[in-house]
This record gives sequence, structure tokens and C-alpha cells, in this order.
Amino acid sequence: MLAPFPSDRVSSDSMSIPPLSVRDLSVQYGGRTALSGFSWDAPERGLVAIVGPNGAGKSTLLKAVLGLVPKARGTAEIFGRSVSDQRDLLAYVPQRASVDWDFPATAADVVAMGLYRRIGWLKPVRSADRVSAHNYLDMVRLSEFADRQIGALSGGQQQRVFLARALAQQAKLFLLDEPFAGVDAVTEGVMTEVFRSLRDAGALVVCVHHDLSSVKEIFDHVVLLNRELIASGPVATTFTPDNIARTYGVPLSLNPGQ
Amino acid sequence: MKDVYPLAAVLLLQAGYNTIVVMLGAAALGAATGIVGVFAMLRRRALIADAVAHATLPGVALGFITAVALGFSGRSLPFLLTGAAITAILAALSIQWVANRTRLTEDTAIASVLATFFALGIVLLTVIQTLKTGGQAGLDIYLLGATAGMLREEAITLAVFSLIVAAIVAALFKELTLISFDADYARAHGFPVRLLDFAILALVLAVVVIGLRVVGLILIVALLITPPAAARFWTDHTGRMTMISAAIGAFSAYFGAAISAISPDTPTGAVIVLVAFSILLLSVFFGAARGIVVRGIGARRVRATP
Repeated sequence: MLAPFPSDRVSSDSMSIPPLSVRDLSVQYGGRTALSGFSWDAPERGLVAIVGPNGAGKSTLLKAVLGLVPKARGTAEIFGRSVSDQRDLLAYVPQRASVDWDFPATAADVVAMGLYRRIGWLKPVRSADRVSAHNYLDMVRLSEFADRQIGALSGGQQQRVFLARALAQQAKLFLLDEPFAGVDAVTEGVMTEVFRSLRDAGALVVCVHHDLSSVKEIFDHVVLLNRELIASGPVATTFTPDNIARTYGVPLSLNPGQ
Repeated sequence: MKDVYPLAAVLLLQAGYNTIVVMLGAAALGAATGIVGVFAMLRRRALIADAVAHATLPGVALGFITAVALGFSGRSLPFLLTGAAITAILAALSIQWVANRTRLTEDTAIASVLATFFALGIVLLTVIQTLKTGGQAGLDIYLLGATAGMLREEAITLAVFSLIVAAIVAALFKELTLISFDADYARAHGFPVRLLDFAILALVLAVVVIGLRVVGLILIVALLITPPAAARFWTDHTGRMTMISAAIGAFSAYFGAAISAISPDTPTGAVIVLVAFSILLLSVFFGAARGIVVRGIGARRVRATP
């Protein structure tokens, strides 16, 4: 039987180390500062929303942590070690629009990609892996769509396929780029439910999020970002009108070189 | 009409041992290009493949000149293919350099590198025509391909190389599929995307160079891209698509070699490409997964059941 969600893949003493710790991270895009001096220690577990206006560097933050865009300065650690040492503990869900959904693959094929690291090099995907992929699809309520070509799924279903692929990795830290963008109510419900089970199993889920109105209902922690850290902490105390106004309202003209 | 019977005889392997070996060698090449082509297409490397193919021309010419200078026959295959590989690699590196280090976009880099290397090749061919040595006429086949006069050993070498290429793709199949679908995800999870991209490019280079003799450098990109394009209409699985693409590539090359056996003056490459294109055309209409006919029936069915 499959372990539905991550269990004891991290030794207990590492639990006091933050799942994600970012120090003084800066990113430049062609001379423009996308992110500057960002430092943050993630809570041990829970659901974190990274919130900020367009161009605030939310996706850039995730990509810099993962090494997809170069860091101008700073470091990122996962459970106290460099990201490249800890890739087995993390699962990344890119923006849905970042891939070609016409690709010759079914929902089950894409979910199986989450198993590739564990299957290993030079080995094919076996029928046991396919069964496993079906189980993860079941967790996001898509088992009847397993054999459907991915382009024939709705946007919300595609997002759930991506989530199932991440679940297949049995990670402790989930980094998701706009998972709620343009999804239907059913998908929003399923994803929220899955995120809560992950939190209850001890995982940390970090989402770049654009919809201010649903932050309180879905997340328990928030990071307010506008090219630099504005505020971070529990939603109840940090997601205040004052902090939101500081993130969205006042343009950051103090940033040198802008 | 009287040509049809010999064609049928040749296709059914009744044409003598040497011809059969050559046809099977060509088929192995077609299978290899069909397989590699799947990833050239899915990873969007079709234009780069065309550029490196055209960039083999100066290499072929320089190989000829070097061979003659060293006292070998100008048409000795090792010299020609080594030269072809070298200038093809140089072209691939030039494209990367222009795209990364200048503000020009990749398609601009590809177009300019293709044209420049091809032009250099044409100039060198003209120089070769003025050399007082034999064998210049034989260089034409590297432009448009020919299987007429091909030796049994050449055909066997072709088949062996093709099998190696197919084996490499089979070994890396999961990872190549992954980077073709979602490179950012692959990179985030520690897959060596640059290395795998390099593997795709190296495989493209390999089949282009191996295929020069049969298909010719001008048209070989069609044998890379047309089979996977046709195969895509028959299935929604990358694995099945790769097998179908291999079959289409093999059949096209086999057919082209058969025509060449009957009519040695017909450029093999052109025939191969026309066969592959006919299959693409059929696939666009009748493909089982996304052909126009099937989609039309599917759409009607959806409308009928609310």
C-alpha cells in the first residue's frame, strides 16, 4: 500500500531546522532588480502564501531558490543544506502556462514523471509505477481521466495533474507557482483539501498566490513581497490592511537603481 | 507502367543480395532518424537540425580536399564524414554563441549560420571542381543522397550506427521525454537538462552525418521531422509515437532505396522525403488520435450526447 503523504523521510532533529531558509537573496533581470535582499525562515509546517503585486518577484523568488534563475547574491537552504543536496525533499509545481499541453502524454504519464527520480536512470516506467500514478491521480479526484491526453483536460484538471505529479515525489517541501490561477471551484476545493492533509502530515506548502480575498480562508502564513520582503508571519497577525497597503499601495521608490 | 513490376519485385526483396542489404541499411537509418526526430520535434530543435545538416557541406568539401592532399581517394568516407561532423559541430556552437552572447534571437542565429556555412560549402565545391583530381562528380550525392552504388559494408555500418543511436534514446527515454515536456520542472529536481539537451543535439548530429550518404544534406531534416509529425496524429503517448515514427522513417527510407535501385539517377533523398510526406498527409486526415476525420467524428459524437 502506498503511503499517501510524506511521513518520516526527515530525521527528527532536522525538524527544528526550517524547511526553507533564504538569506539576503537578490536577483537581477537584465539590469533590473527583480528581488533585493530577501531573507526569510519558513515555518516548520503549514500553508504559506507569497503575495504581492505583478512584477513583485514572487515567481522569481521560487525560481531563484530552485536555481532556475541565477542569484545575484544570497543563499537558499532546504532543511539546513544547499538545495542541490536536498532535491529529494522538495517538489516544484511550475505555472500551468509554462508547458505545452499539446504534448503527447496522458494525465497518468505526467504524474508518473514525479516518480522518475525514484525509478532512476536507464530504467523504464513499470506497471507498478503506473498503478502508483493512478493512486496519486485518485488523490486529486482525477482517476477517471488517467488516460486522457493532457490537452483535453480543463485548466483546473491540468493544475490537479501537476499537483498529483508533485505528490508522487513524496516531498516535505512543496513550492507551487500560482496553483490557484484560473481554476474552477471543484479544483480549488480539492487542492485546499490536499494542502491541508499535507500540512497535517508535517509538510510545508508554499504557494505564490494572487487572490487576496482567499488568503485568509486557505493559508495560515503569509509572505508579503514587493521586490523586497514587506512582512511575513501568521495570516492572523501579518495579513493586515496596513501591511497590504504597504505591499500594494506605496510604490517602492527607495530602491536604488530603479 | 512497366516500372511498377520491377518496383514491386525490389520492395519484396527479390533484387539481389547487395540491393537488399542497402535497402535494409537505409531502413535502419530511417528508423534512427524517426526516433531521434521525435525529440528534435518535441524539444523544438527542428530548425537547428536543418542548420547543422546544411553546415556539413563545407566539412564534406574540406574532407575531400584533405583526403586528396594526403594521397587518398577524395571520396573516402571517413574523411568526408569526419569533415561533415566537424563543421556541423562548429555550426551548432556558432548558433549557441550568437543566441547567447548577442541580442539576436535564436531563429535569426539559426538562419544566418545555416546560410553562411552552406555558402562556404558551395564556394569550396567550386574550388574542388578546378582541382586536377578525379571523383568530384561523386560529391553530388551528399547534397541529395543516393543509394545506387552503395557498398554492402557501408550499408551495414549505417545499420549498426542507427541501432546504437536507437539504443541511446531507449536508455534515456524517460529523461528526454521529461525535459521535452517540462524543462523547468526537470531542472528544479536536479535532472541535468543541459547535458540531456546536448545529448539530443549530439544524436541529431549523428543521424545527420550518418544519413548524408543516403538522404543528402539538403533534405535530411525532412526525414528527421516528417515521421514524428505524422506519428503524432496516431497516438497521444510519447513511447508509441516514437515507435510509429521509427516505422514511418524506416518505410520511407526503404522505399526511397528501392526506387534508387531501379532508377539510379533519381535522387534517393527526394524520393524518401516524398514518401514520408505522403504518409504525413494520410496521417493528418486519418490519424487515429488527432486526424481530421477522427476529430470530426468525435466532435459530432460530443454534440449528440449533451
